[in-house]
Amino acid sequence: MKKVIVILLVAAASTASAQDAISKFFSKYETDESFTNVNISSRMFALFTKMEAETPEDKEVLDAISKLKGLKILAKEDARNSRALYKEALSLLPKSYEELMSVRDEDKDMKFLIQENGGKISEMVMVLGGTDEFLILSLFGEIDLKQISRIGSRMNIKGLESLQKMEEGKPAKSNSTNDNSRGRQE
Amino acid sequence: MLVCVAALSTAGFAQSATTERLQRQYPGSLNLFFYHNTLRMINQQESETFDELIKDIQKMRFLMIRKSDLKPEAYSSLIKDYRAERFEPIMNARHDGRNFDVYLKETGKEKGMLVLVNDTDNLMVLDILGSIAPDKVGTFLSTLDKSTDIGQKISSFIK
Repeated sequence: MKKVIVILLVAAASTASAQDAISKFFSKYETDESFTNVNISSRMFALFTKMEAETPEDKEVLDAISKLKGLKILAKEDARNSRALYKEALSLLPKSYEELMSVRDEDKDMKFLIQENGGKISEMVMVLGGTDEFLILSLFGEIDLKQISRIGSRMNIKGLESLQKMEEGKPAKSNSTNDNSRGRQE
Repeated sequence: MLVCVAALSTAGFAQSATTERLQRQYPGSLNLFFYHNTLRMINQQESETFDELIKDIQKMRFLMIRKSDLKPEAYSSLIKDYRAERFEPIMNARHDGRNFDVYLKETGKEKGMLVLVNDTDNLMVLDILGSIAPDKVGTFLSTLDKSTDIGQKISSFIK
């Protein structure tokens, strides 16, 4: 029994430290005025439940948005140190975050990582590093990966359009070699 | 009787007491009221996007105060007062030296939204009776941000 408690405490501590690592990264740069910084609360996401859905697909997206609890974005344009920031952000993410996908789009590298809790995806982190552009995004709550790219386009928040790359990075249903080459890369 | 009628018509505006107090504290501030139709008149390019943004706004009070006139603790005190009026934070953002704080109030049938735009030169308060659709808030802030000086745009409109 003691062993179980110890294991649970260690698991809880490592989850807490995982969240702390990302929070530390955000805290380090959120007061830096050269960064664009966006924070959205659960109250905002709850407003989407009151919107009228025009189609069944629209309703699915609105339902998915309403289950989100928060969004944080930190971004920098014209950044000379964008690659260094990209590496720093990735180095801070603990092993409890599972890499879902890597995408390369021209000069930009993107990694999508998730954290699960009780069989559901509780957080999604996206890190983007380009020649002169950096972005880190943390989306938390109950996340429906099937809707993630549509959430990005629906909310019209600068930075979220990058979520559409998840859809573009997926292998196509056909056997196109182009799509396969844009899949998981190291 | 006339005083009562005047008081009732002011109460009909139903913008927040904190905004009202702020304007009285800074009488030199730019202080404008817009009804829905007036907002539509600002839309001189007849942008459908802009019309969509403002469609649920019944009235908007626009207040612009020069930062040089503002007392040091004024902003934090202002936020405290708005929160006491049950405005809840829904979003904050910073871009290119401008801070945006968006608050929402929903009490029964009354809906209000507050957008505070804070940069080195000015504090702008948009006190809205009504609302902006949640999927349009980002676009609204982007529109405010892209206007090289929204206060001047509004000032030139009223000249």
